[in-house]
Amino acid sequence: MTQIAVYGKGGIGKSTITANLSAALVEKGYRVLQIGCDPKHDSTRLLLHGFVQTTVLDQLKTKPPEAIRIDDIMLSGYKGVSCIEAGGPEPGVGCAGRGIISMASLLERIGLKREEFDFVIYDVLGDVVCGGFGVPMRDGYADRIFVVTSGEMMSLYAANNICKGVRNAGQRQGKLAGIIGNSRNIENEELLIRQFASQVGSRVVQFLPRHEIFRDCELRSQTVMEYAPHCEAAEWFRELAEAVLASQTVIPTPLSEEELESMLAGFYRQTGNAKPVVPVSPTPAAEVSKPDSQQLGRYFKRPEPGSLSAYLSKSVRHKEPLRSCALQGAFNVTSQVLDGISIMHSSINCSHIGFHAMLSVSKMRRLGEKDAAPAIPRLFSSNMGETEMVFGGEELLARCTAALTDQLKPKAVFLINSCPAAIIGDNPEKIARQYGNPGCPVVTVKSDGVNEGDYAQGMLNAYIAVAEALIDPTVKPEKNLVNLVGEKNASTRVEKNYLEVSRLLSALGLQVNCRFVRKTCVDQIRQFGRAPFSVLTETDDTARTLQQFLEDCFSVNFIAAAPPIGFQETRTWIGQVAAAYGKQNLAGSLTNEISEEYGRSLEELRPLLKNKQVLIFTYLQELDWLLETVLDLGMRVEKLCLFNSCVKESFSSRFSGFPVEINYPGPQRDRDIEECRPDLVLCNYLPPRMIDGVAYSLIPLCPPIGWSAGIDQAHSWIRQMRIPFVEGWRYDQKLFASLS
Amino acid sequence: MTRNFSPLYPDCLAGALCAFEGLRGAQALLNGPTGCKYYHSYLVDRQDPAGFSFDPIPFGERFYFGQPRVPATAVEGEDYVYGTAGKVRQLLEHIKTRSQIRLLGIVNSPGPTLIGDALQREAEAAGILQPVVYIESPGFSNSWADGYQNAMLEILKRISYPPKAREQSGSERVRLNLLGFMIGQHNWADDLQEVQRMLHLLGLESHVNIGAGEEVENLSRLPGAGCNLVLAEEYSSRIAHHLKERFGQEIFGAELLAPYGIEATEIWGYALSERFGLDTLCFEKEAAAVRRKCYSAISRVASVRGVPRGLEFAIFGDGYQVAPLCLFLYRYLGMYPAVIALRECGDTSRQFLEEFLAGEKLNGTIFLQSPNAAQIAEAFRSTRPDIVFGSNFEEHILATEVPDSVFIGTAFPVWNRFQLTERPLMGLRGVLVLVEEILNALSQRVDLPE
Repeated sequence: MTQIAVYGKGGIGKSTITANLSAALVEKGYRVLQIGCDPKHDSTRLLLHGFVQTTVLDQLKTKPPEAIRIDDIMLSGYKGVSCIEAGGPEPGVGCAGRGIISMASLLERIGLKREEFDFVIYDVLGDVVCGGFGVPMRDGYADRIFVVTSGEMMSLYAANNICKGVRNAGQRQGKLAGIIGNSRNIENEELLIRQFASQVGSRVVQFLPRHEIFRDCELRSQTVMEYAPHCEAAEWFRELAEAVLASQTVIPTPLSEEELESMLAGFYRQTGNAKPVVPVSPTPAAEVSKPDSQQLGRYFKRPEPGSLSAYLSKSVRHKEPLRSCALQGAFNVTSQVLDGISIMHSSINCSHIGFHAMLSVSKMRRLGEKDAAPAIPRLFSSNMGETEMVFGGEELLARCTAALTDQLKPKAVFLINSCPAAIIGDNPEKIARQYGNPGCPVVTVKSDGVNEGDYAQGMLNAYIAVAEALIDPTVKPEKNLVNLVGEKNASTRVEKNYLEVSRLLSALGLQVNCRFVRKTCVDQIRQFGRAPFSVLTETDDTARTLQQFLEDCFSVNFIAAAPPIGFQETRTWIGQVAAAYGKQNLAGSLTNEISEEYGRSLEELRPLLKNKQVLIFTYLQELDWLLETVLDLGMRVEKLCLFNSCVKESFSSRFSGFPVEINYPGPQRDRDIEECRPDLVLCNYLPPRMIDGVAYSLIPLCPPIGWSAGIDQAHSWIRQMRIPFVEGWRYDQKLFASLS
Repeated sequence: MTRNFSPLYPDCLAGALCAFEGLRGAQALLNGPTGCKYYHSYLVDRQDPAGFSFDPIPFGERFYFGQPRVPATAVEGEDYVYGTAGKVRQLLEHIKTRSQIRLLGIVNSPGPTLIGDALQREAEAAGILQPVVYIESPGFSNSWADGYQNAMLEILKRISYPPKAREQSGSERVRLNLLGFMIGQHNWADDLQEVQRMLHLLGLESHVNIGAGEEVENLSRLPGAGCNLVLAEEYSSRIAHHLKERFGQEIFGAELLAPYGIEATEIWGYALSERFGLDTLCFEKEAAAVRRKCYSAISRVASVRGVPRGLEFAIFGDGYQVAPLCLFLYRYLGMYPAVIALRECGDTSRQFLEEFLAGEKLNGTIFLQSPNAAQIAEAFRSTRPDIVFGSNFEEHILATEVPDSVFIGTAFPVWNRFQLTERPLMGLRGVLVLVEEILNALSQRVDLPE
């Protein structure tokens, strides 16, 4: 069995040539299968006398793969040539390349016995040689590839691209079996095509001049071999069949764009063609000038406040590896609008991951707060399947949105696109416009899986989408109300922190208006403007960027102070909040009380911790709440080692006088501990191997809110120093020697 | 394919990754974004712990992203335009130095599946010496059993089998390959061990266990077994037929209920002994001992509190597990099936359940197929079951809807409890564990008679 692929630019005559080649081979007594790999599915039309057969992908659209039989998709054409058409989506939707992959996979699954044929011929569109249209080039498919081209520049350009694809596909063995010239009546066309073939390391196996008979055959929906078997054109195809049988394959040497242009220019110079179609020589670099800034300003503008590109996560800004994806980050935010629903336009896999992350049973159990998230995350999946990947999934998403809106009567619907949905070009905006109404806005959150960026970027995009869709800018501020902004939904401490902030606010006679966005509802978000001021509860990059957005676009007033984490920050925060709301009288007694408590705690702890040496390893870039206590207790920081953080731009501190190592390399940790042998190691994760004589304590990744954040940690350090430095079970690590 | 818009259970991608990660010496590489990596890395490590620490420092940013399992290429948006080939090759070049890896599985996540990069070409270019299995299209939204079977079939096709079809061994016992276990199943290791023990009790020998915990090299010994024993049809039917076609091996067990509960376990044991002409004395003795122990415990509770008889249960899981457990709970313990909900379900289990419900005239039972969370919540609200068997997902919904009900973890995932002692749910020991769990769970029910 020989497998052949015939590639070429769209409209170049591939299907006519392929059908005639099949007919010529079948006349010689060979068993031939022709598979059309072009969404317009007309490869086998001439063999089937114009009959439009059901395509493989049409079948896949309506039936599960296991229900499809070979006779559903294969017809017998001229003299028994077996005919299959892959088919594909309508222009502008879905992914035609994916269609070819699906077709190939289905043929495998239903057990097409290609070895029963002498020739399997794939007729493939070659304008875009993406992964899908490249499938017939791969091992296991075509052993010989023929490229059809005319002498037109774009046709040669496509042919050259196909040669690049062939080279990439078959580095072990050559697969290019020859070039087939199909004339467009260009002067010296055969010569040009032969020159091109030679340049790419191949040869022309047949040149087909223009002939009226081709048009007649098209009109009669027959191959030349059938309609006019004795005409000279039929003879050309018989010669082509012979050439195919005798063909040798090579690894092509495709030309660079410059080489191709130069070859064409040289050809036109030599042959004296009146109208060269390419410049004789490229414009000298010196003559190329950059547009001035005024020109640039006319055509481009920097992202303005309010546009998504003005609010980027740290990883996206710095092109760092992306942690998780925007899809999951977006759901982190939308899941907190409790009377809304989130629909991921994705396969089940993506939405299950989001569902599981939010449900995260073990995390909630550890907290002892079963209501840390909506009881059942109101997340749904459009459940994209193979059919949607080929034909587009907007219809499915529309059905899903309509059904869930009708069934659950949510106050808002959030549509979040996955990678596959983005790749095939599904546009949820259309569905949002179709199904959204004032009582239930349908909000699209830009995510496109990982295409928009990492988890943090997804969160930012979701905050922006939620704010723009739901915050009512006409709402007037009222007294004594505060918004909390940027609470960390993925943290196990978020509710405890909320309680502490609420307690502090309550002590100042203030109440929380809206938690943006945490355990809230559509109406609370609409009423965001009731609070004259907002406070950040986190200092990470995402929270700061969200603050920037709300200031830029909604003129939200933020309390400038950092969140009340640690003694000094809490005092400052209380002072600023009180000043903003005219509650200074209440603030004074509160801060005095805190100062006394803090002082008492230090006196109690200092004798136990003074002069203790500390090594700190952390991902946190803001650590003053902890350093404050360490230094106030008279402990000595041997070194502060900061791992790269995806959530905070850079380290900043009001403290100094100790070494700080930024972008600390993780593998150095154990060595540094060994060399320094401090009394205490503070870290975000305990290393598996602990050193006797050194106490280890964890720094929470989400720091606790309140003046006692550092003091509470210090109590834990003392406990750590009172228990065995290395517990018995740790010595059994030696049993895992082979795994280390 | 389910179209209930519910993301309650994982899909075929997770199944494919479990197929590789369940084999000792094999490693799954994910060609996809880290968003697809984190969960699966956690899943396989939680279901089949292989390392000794969860400290992220040794597992750097590149490829591992702080987790020990399922390294990934970390595909980003531009890779969907220019292809993932470069990243695949970088990961493979990193991996190829690891001599302890004896089989590699490169699995595309949904995005890279669409763009169709040729993985094999990259593996060849990277000079990978280990056998590599390519899962270029694990499917979209298909069931995870399907994803598992697809990947396992590809693995089996990649294995080199020695020319000699049958092995010689000193043992006279008939050797059986075990089909149907995978690491994504709750409690798979204990169940596997119990099945192997029961086979030994019957005079049979477990040969190669295809799905979970088996050494990669042992797969080449598959032809040496006399028969393939199917324990979970959903996870093995196509694999069994592949082996039958390839090695002419008999399939046994596909039409039996899996050995859960006393009745199904006894039927299973006697069917095996009859098929292979074996003495059942040891098996009978142990079954009788199990029955005695159960009788003694249940009779004490039943005589005073009247339970478990008459209690209503809801059960969630795959058909191979739900069908025999229903039989056990209904017929042996006298409990009433309020809700029966299936994820995956093979023909044998489905037929049994349909006949069971019709035959026993259990018209009031809510029967759900691949339910979504809202359906489960509604079923709980309307039936208020006394006891629920299932996974953490159902447990969470139950805690919200019927807080006074009790829960027993029998299906994936049960991740909020650690279990270090062997507590199989299958087989004769499984009967004891189930009865123990049920009686202990009932003691939490304050509303029942003391």
